Amino acid sequence: MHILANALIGLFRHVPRIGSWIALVLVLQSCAAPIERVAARPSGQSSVERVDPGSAGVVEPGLTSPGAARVPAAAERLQAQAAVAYENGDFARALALLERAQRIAPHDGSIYLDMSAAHRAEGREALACQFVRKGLSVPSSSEVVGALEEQLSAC
Amino acid sequence: MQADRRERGKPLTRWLRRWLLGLGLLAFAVMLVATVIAMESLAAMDSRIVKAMNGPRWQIPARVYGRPLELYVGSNTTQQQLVDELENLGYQRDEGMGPGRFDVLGSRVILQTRGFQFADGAEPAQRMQIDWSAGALSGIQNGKGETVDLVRLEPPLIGRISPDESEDRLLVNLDQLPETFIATLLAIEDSRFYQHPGLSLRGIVRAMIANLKAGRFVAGGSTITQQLIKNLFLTNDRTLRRKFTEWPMALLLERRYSKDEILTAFINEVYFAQDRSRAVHGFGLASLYFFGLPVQELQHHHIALLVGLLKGPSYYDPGRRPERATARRDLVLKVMLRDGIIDQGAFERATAEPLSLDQSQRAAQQPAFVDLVRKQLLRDYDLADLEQGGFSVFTGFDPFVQDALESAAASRMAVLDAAEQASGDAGETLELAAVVTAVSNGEVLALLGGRSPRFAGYNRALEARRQVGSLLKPAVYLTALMQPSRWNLTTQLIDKPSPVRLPDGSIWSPENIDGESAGRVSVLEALTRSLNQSAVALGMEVGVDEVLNTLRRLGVQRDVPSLPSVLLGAVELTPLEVARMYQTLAANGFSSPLRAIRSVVSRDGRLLQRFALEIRREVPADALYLLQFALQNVMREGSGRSAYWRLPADLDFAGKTGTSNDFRDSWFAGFGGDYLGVVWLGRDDNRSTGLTGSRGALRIWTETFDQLGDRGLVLSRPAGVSYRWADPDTGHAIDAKCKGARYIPYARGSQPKPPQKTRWFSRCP
Repeated sequence: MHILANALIGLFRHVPRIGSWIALVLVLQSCAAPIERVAARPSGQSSVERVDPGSAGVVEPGLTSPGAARVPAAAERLQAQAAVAYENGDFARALALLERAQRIAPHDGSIYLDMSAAHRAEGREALACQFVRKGLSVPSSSEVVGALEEQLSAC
Repeated sequence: MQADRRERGKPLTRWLRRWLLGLGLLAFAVMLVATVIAMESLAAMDSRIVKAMNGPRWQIPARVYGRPLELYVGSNTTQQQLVDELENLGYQRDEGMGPGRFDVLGSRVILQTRGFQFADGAEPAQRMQIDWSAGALSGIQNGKGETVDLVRLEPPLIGRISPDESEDRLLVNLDQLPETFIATLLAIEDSRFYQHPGLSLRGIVRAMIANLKAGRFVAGGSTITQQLIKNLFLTNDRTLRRKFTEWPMALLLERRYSKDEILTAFINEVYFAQDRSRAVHGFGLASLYFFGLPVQELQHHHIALLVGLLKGPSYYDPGRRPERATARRDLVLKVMLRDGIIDQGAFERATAEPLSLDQSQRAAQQPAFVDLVRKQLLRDYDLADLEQGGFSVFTGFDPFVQDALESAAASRMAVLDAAEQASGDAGETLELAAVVTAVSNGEVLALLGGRSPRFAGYNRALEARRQVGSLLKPAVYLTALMQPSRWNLTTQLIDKPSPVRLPDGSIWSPENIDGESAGRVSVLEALTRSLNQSAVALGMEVGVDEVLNTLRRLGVQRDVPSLPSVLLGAVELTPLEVARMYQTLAANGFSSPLRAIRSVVSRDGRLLQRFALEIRREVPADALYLLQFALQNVMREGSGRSAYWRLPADLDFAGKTGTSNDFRDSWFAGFGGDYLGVVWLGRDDNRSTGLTGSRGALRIWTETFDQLGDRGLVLSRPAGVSYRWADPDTGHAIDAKCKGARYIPYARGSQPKPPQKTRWFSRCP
């Protein structure tokens, strides 16, 4: 950086004095800024690894994040069993199965959508709406988000 | 003469006749009365027998189970954790397969599950092969080689709910018992059980001879039926009176019930041992108590010992008198060999076995957690029902989490004890309490009520109300952040002495912990540094009542006085109440009651109650997100930063320390993506601990979370929040490259503005 600054000062040696100052300021700023930026971030173990809390792991709600973990097949199987129970009108069993699925995949919006449906079927409208809101607070596929938003409009 | 004689004899004969008649009538009356009394007595005995045999025969305490381990591809259960779980459940490790057995082959575990009847359905017993690859559970196959998505093991028994002094038993049926078991029991106790009518004449004669020889009552010649009568209705007194009651009752019992019914009752009734305050009855519980095995899995040497113990459970106590117990067991094994129940090879193998006592079932008791379960159940059930009704209570208790918490607490307490001894402090022992919950659903996973986890005494996690100190500050800042038009994370506060006039007219002027005022600071910095003066200034501006309202929204149900000192945590809460409050912060503003129980099932397997997950959004997502950001900053730059000496730097955690006046209480509450943990350290006499939250409680929390392998907090940014580069020292929006610039989240409508005066070539102040 110092070589670059000297070169620029040499370049501007023959132009009016104000030009030298502009060059000097630009070069110094370009040298200083990156150092200040890293130092300003909250600390991890070292200044090099500093990351703003949360900013590295921020996930947009509502849509499935590309890096989000796949839902285990176990959770999907339990959801499928819950769907059968729901179809048979056994909403309590459906909810019990969905809670097992939720323990396995707590960040899967589709499970909250299903829980919402089961609670609604049992007449717990307010609780059903809370599960819709919960579903919208975690990353999900666009279809699930669409379904959740549709449910939310009825809340 | 003859006539005279006849004349003289007539009155005599008449008198005699009358006398005999009177005597006969009297005898008849006595016999009638005796018969009536006997009939009445027999009817009363019969009624007692019927009542005892047909009704709820025994008072059975509620049994409390931990969570069943669920195995599936992608789960973070390690191979070692599965092995630990199986050993805790009493699975035997060997190459032969059968229910309750497993083997480890490299990175593969082969096991045969026992199956279990859960509230939501039966889990069948099945053979499984589970593989790990690169440390992750990578595949599950059943005995047919088919891929299986999910396996659920039976839940570990962690305690029971019973009166202080009580009987306990685990009911079993005859068809659950191994074939050799019944044969051995009858060979030793009553070889003619299926032939006699309840009494054995041969046995009685033999006993009478023995009694005559001894000159006192030494033997009773009891059949199994008589022993059952004695155990159910009579005392252990060896008297003739007891025998005269026992015999008719035995005959009545045999008249009423089948041999198999009597034998089943006997098997479940017999006494085996005293385990602290509970009496261990029945072969079902004795099998678990002594060997950690269900009765179905008993081997010959186990059977011989259990049957042998009936003669004198205390005299042959295998724990205290192993030589006697071994000799008795081997004697029973000889009878088994003599009667052809086992062959010579089996006899030799069995006698070569050690007593194989297993203590794990006794160590697995979790009195603090069971205490929480009991308290939660008492909201819906009578105590008598819980203590006698034979309920099964299924909970979310996680032994892995409990182990991590206990080992972290033990190692840290050892260090602190050593430091106290070195300093000559001989006061009340330093105590602790801790709670770990699942962030995703508010289930209580682990609990410590004191430094001795197996001690069923004062449960500090539930009962110790202690000042929370700075743990309460997040509620102050959250109240402010819920008004985005007035406050954001870079709003400037003035940290300086700000005397507050209290309702009684006195002046309260809090200081910071270092006695210095920080001057102008941002909301973010004030919370990160846990500054007292700026917290009070902010709290007074938002209003103490508003802060109390926030506390209620976070789940604090206790009445808290509306005083300014509340802003600095002059509020007494239990560790469980703190966990409830922080649960809402960890769960993105969704409040849910902390649940210890999943379901309750009746003695006959009916689902009585399910404790379903309930949630409710109590705090706006935007404000909660900002607070979580700030609490992460506490962990990176504030009083929680020492956690990163052990935790991975690339994982985010959020938390807050708390220290009450004079260091009486050392607190930490923090969470990642999976778990929330609250730890408290203090003394029962409320003396100083000399520990801040970070020097005491935080160390235990850190060590626990290091073992748990929490995946870290990943914030889900609400639509109403966006990030800006800003200068926390001024609260202005500035360019990323400016000195002191930080990337900070703001709620909609609260984004910072650029400074009025900037350089013409950049947006730096």
